[in-house]
Amino acid sequence: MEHAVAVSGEDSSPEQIICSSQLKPSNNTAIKCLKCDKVYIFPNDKDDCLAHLYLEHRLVIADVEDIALLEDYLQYWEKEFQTHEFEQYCTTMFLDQLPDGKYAKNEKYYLLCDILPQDYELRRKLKEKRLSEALERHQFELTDRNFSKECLFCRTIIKGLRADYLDHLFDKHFLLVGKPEKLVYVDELLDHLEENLNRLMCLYCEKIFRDRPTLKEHMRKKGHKRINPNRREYDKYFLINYNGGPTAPTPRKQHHQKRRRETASVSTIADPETGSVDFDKHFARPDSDAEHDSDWSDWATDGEPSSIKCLYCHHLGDNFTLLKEHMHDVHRLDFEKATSSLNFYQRVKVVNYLRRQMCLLRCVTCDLHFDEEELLMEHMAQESHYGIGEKESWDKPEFFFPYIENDGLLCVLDDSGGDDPEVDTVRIISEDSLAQINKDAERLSLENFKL
Amino acid sequence: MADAAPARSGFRGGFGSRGGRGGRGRGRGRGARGRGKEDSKEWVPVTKLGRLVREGKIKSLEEIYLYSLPIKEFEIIDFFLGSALKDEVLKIMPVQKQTRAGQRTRFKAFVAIGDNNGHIGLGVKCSKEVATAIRGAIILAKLSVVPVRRGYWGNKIGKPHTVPCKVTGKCGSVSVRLIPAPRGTGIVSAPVPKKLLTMAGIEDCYTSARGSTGTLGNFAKATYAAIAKTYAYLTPDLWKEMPLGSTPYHAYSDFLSKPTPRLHAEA
Repeated sequence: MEHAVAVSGEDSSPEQIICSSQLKPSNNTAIKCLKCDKVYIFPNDKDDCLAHLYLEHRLVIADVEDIALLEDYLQYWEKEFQTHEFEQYCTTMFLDQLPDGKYAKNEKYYLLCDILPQDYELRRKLKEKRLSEALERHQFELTDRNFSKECLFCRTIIKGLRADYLDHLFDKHFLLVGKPEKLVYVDELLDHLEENLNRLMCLYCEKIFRDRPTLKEHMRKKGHKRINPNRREYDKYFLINYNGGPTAPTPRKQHHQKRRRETASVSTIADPETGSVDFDKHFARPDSDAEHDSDWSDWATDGEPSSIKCLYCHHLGDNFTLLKEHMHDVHRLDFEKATSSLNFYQRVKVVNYLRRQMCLLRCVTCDLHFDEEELLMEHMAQESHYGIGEKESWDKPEFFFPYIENDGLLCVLDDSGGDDPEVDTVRIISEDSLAQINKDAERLSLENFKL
Repeated sequence: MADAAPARSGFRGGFGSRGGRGGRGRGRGRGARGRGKEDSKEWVPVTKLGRLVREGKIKSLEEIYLYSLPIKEFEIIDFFLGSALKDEVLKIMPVQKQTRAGQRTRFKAFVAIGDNNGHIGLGVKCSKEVATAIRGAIILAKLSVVPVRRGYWGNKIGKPHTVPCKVTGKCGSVSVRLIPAPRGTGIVSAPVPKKLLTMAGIEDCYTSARGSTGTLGNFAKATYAAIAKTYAYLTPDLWKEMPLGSTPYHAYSDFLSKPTPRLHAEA
């Protein structure tokens, strides 16, 4: 795992390194047992933990292999069981044997399964979380150009996209790992393959060979230049497995419940009044959501919205209206009023001018320099020098250019102000039209004009 | 290395039977991959415009835009813009639908395509697999490619670098206004429109966005609408009367009336 991070460490900005280790599904986490205080290190001790839960606490988790992120699942339930008893959440079963197989009468066992709506929700949410993590990583891998790795077979170093690397493996060495659009966690996969090759193990049949040339010969002759499809540990590299579609673990119990709920509201028998069966409701094809396909409004940020920094202090406003309110309340500046007579370009200049003044710790009205921010703020508050400054100060062409990078304030400025477009109008010239009329029409033209 | 190629094809049959959740994802890539590279030359046009383009009767994409002919085949765009066109996947998100058997997850891919020099397109496609969604979205993006008109701010030196006039595009509640900027300003906007404006070939531009810009889908579409409007705006230099040309369908009607000879398997 550390090795993998080092290879992809070419993308050297710290946030990217954190990203890749967080999204990898095989982190080492310490999980406390649900009822007692024993600690297990996942993923290695997973089986020990589950065995302990069964033997010591008589707790069985249903469909444990299907749970998306077992660590998070256990952590959630550990918190719950701190204050509640098993019986409140689990189904109790009576079996006629002790955990170690000896005969006993009516021993209580607890089954934690998703017939409990809370558990079902939790499992579903974990699945979604895992899927969105995988998709994020997938998107990153599709576009990241900082990938660089030595080829598994020849000695060339491939730089650029991971897709380029996989293409090289296919074109030059006929090794098909998979299509780049379908793979995720590619770095880990490639490291895994590299490890196998270094151990002189064939990727497909997994036999060990004497040395590298023999291994290469074998793989070439037998056509074993691909991954063993039966090995489950490769599943996590293929995006299709994160889907959890109709084969998802919806146990039969849930199915019954859903059925009951549905038949209550929608009767599949003919409507007694009109004697007709509503065709669309019952027999419409599930793919009839074609209009949702081209719907762009699905895509919305659910992360924090981008915030705009105040012109004078470090306050961040969520949107322009809130920011204007803040500036009015704290700095007693009515931005709207102050800029009402200015056209768009002048407002841009004002914003850039103010940003510069604050950066240089100079007062916006009298241009006095201060050594510290607090002194500047005090001065401006006392002298009421909060404002937009004199026109001569900011009406310079250098303030057309944004002073701070990604200044959110410049992207929300109102365009409506500025009554006289004649003042300060800059002549804007359009590009010549690129269209070409066909030769016949040109000959017919009355004037000779250049296109 | 040469032996490996024929040896491969023998295994293709074996793969299908194995199935399994993992096998499907891996097996499908193989055959299609090898064939995909040859397919790109074998375009058989099905529309009149496609036939004209294939035969080289139409010299540039701008001729098609001049007559506002609808483009129904993405290979037409490929033919003219080809390698200059770069696509970028803006977002892949899972959309879920509740069915009786649980939840059905499909993937929706949002793709933007552009040549950084005057053309931009947007596409969205939903599908069960990520790769299919991306491929479908790229095709739809190519079909939606529009020309971008650029202009100068102030002096007409060098190449056009900014939008020719203030244009607004609206989608949903989001409205985006593009405002000309002097050379060297760069693109002053949120990340999503910035990407689109760069791909369109606009170097300098101010933007002003209103509405719920959190809906990035509508934000992107509004920017695209604004960029497309640059050629819709009638500026004084377009006032000159131009003679009515004949549409390519009319000009080449005798070529179109002849049935195309069947494409033989050429070497």
